[in-house]
Amino acid sequence: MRERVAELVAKASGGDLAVADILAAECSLPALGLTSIAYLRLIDLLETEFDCDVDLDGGHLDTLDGLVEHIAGQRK
Amino acid sequence: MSPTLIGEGEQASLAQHGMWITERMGCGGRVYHMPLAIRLDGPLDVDRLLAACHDVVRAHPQLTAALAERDGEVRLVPAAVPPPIGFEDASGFEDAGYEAGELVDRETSLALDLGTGPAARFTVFRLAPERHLLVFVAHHAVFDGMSKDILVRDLAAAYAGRPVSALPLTHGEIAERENARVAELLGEAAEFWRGRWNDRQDLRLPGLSGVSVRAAAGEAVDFALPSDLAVAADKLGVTRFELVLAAVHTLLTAYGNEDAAVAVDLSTRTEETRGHIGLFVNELPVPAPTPSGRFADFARTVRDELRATYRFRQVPLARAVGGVSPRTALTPVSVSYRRRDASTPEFPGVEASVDWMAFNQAVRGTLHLQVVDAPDGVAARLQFNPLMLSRSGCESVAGHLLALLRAVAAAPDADVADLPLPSPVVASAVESSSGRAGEPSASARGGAADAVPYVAEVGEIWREVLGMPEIGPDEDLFDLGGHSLSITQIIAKVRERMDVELSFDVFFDDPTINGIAAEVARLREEA
Repeated sequence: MRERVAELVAKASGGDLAVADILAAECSLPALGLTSIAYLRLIDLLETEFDCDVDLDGGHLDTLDGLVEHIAGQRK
Repeated sequence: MSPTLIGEGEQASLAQHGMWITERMGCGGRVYHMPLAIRLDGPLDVDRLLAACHDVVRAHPQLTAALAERDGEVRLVPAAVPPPIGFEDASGFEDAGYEAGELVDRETSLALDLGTGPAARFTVFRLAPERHLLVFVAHHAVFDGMSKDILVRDLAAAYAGRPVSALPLTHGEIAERENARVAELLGEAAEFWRGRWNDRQDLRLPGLSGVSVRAAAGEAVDFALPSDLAVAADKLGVTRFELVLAAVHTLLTAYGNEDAAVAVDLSTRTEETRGHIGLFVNELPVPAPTPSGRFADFARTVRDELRATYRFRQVPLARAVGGVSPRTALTPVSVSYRRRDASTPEFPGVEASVDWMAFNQAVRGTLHLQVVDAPDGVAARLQFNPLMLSRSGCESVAGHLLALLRAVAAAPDADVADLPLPSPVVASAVESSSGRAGEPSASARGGAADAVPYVAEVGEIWREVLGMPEIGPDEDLFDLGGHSLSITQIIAKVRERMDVELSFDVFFDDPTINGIAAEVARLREEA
């Protein structure tokens, strides 16, 4: 799932961020260059693909692993 | 010498110290993020606007400040990371079904770091060729309600090519003066608050299921106060703020609360700091007697109470009295009131519209009434903790407040008994969620490490920090009169003499000599 989420991040960024960089990143997604607009697009993509809710509240949703954990937690 | 640079190790203000501790204890976060959004319609010169942002940052050093602990005190230092000032092209954004508010929410959720910076962030979004949105977010430790007015005024001035005024004092100088003043007043303030402060956590409100004085995700009910509020206040011989505060007290009593204290945000700005972006607010409780007789007389009593506190407005309550445990709101119910006299500053060539009340989707306590009184109307918002209070309960409170204010406006001489008031709320099993009662102390928590060898030394440190000859090993730091400065001093001395770095959590879980000693033992064992 981690790869798929990374792919969606890359897609939401309109290609500005590469999947490989996202997977390897040790910093937060905003630090990597994920803009606010891209983040909102990403939320839409994630909510559609994984049928979950992603709210905007929480620094833990600013990293790839944080997102993966959040989504995994929602899918029961 | 330019007053615009932050000298290394300038004093942080008392309010900043408290907020820094709250952050370190993990109780801050989003609730301390203050957003401001400006919509700009027309042909905007984006580069000029970005340059204006840089000008404002240069003119207001608090935006490039960070806080660091040195020898038990919190100091202002230059931030390693200055405020990001950026541009994002969001063309087609609204057509794609997004709303500007979502951008504000996202920017508000981005991390701010008081330790390294950034303490603030500017982002200019292009929504369309002639529609832009500037979103600014700052940490409350360097920003407050009035700072919003100063920010927009200076941004407009810089955009228009006018110089932004230099500030007369450095923040270190301001903090020093304030700290000196507080030291002078401390004894009197302690005396003043002794009879007046009562840390009540019981509360009755419609739809209430719990009480909290800690930060949490928040929701809001927006409404407008009657436009004839000013007229009503005049007739009663009080200010609009005093009228609103008296009305809130009256409602709380009607719901069945006795001696409810309502905390208010008081500005600590002086003539010298009027033009400064920064944190110049102190939250203080305003107790009131039970409303009876004529409402007008009760309102004047509230006014007298409030005015009596003004003498001590700069003294943080926790410094004057003991027993104020770590929290983000002093009382479960609080009020902030701000007047904006000026209209929106002009950005030449574009039409600017400012959201002065952008919501950070967080709440400091259980219920907070925010009022922004401007020439175009009196906007009100009830921020509430949805885990403690239902939305319909909050809407009821809004309705009751409006009904009361309208009735007072219509009949300023009315007796409280004749005003439309809600019926008492039946007390359900409402428990405070912020108490520490019942939590096992660290020393009782099946820990393997033996704390006994450390109790004596920790006790010695506490006695020094609190200036007391004897302290029981299970006495609560806050009940003893300790506060945020005590925490940093204890941590510093333990670091110095016992060579361990205490976390802030222990001051939550078990702020006693035994608790600290147990933590020292645990850390020693881990090392």
